[in-house]
Formats: sequence, C-alpha cells, structure tokens
Amino acid sequence: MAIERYGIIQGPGRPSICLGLAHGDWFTVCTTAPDLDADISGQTQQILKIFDGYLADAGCDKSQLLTAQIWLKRIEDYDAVNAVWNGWIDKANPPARSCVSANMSKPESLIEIRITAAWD
Amino acid sequence: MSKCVIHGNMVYTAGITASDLLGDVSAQMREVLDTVDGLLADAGTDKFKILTAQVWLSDMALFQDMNAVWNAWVDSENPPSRACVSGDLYCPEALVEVVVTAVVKD
Repeated sequence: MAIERYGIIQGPGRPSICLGLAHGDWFTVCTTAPDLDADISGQTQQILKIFDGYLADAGCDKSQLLTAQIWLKRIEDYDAVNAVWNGWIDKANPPARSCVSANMSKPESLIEIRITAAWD
Repeated sequence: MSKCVIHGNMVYTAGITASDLLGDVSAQMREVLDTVDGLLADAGTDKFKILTAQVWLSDMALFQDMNAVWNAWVDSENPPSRACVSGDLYCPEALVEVVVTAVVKD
C-alpha cells in the first residue's frame, strides 16, 4: 500500500515535513494557520478550510473524521474555537476530539489541529 | 509500558526521550531518533515508512536546534506529517520527546 503525501514542505530554515498523508483507508492532516495576523476565530477558520481542501483531495469528507487533536496557545480561547468548530463539523458524525494548551512553533500561532479520517 | 506496540500493519511507539539527559537538545534529539530507528528496525520497518510524528519540546526556543537534527535524519522527499508543540515533559532535564506511527508491512 502506497503512502501518499500532501503539502510537502522542505528548504533552508524550514522543517522537512508533509501536512497531509494517506495510507490505505486512513488519512491525516496537521497544520497551523498560514495567516497569523488573524485572531483565534480566523486562524481556526483557516485551518478548517485547509482540512476541507485536503479531505477533498483525498476523496473523503468531514463525516469520515475519526479523531481531532487541538492545541491552543491560550486555553481561554476554547469557547471561540468551539463556536467555529461547531459550525464546521458534521454534527451527525463528529470525531473523537481532545483539546489541550501548548505553545506552537511560531509565537503568533494560536492554534494547531491534527485530524485523522477514514474512508471505505 | 511498551516502547512500541504493533497492531495489524501499524507500529505505534511510546513517547521516546533520551536516556542521557545531560545533553543539549541536539544530543537528546539524536539519541531519541537513534532509539526510534532501533524500535522501527525491531518492528521490521524503517523511518521511510513513518506516517506521523509528534514532537514535544520543553521550550519552543529549542525548535531550530531540534529541527536541524530532524531535517538531517528525515527523508526530505518523503517526510512524515509532524506536529511540534511545547509543554512540560516528565522531568525538567528532558528537552524533547517524540512519538511516531509507521507502517510495518504492506
């Protein structure tokens, strides 16, 4: 079974990573927001939009999410993130989610999310 | 706990830290990745089959030093999906901890 990688990053001063990866019936994406001038709601929206794109590329959608790991720089942003999250998620098929606070690689990053998904 | 667990065609490692906690983050990261290489070899696979990596740093100020070791180790054409965040590790001397998931066999 091939490993398919999406959004490969490499180059001087950058981490050698990919943002998304699919193997068999399993798919994951992990990212921070690209526009770090945005507030927590804006950064969350950017990340979820990126997820929509990669999920579409992989031929699956958010009803097939398995897990989500959310890291927040400030846990007090929890309610604001939830408001965006709840508007995005397929409420009939929500993933198992965890949310904790941590610092991301850039100080302006307020949120980072990893999702995993499966499809038949 | 187990240092790694195999289920189906996947291997899941524990959070790997350096045993020599006197080293700087570069030395600790090298030891951690050596350990990961060894665990993957025991599981019958290698770093080219890693799907995801989770890196925890005790302090994000260590990011560039950690990342230089990562970049030298990883297959830059076929890198894993990695998340890196900072937080308190199990003891103050531990500067980096890494978990990977990898495919064992196809």
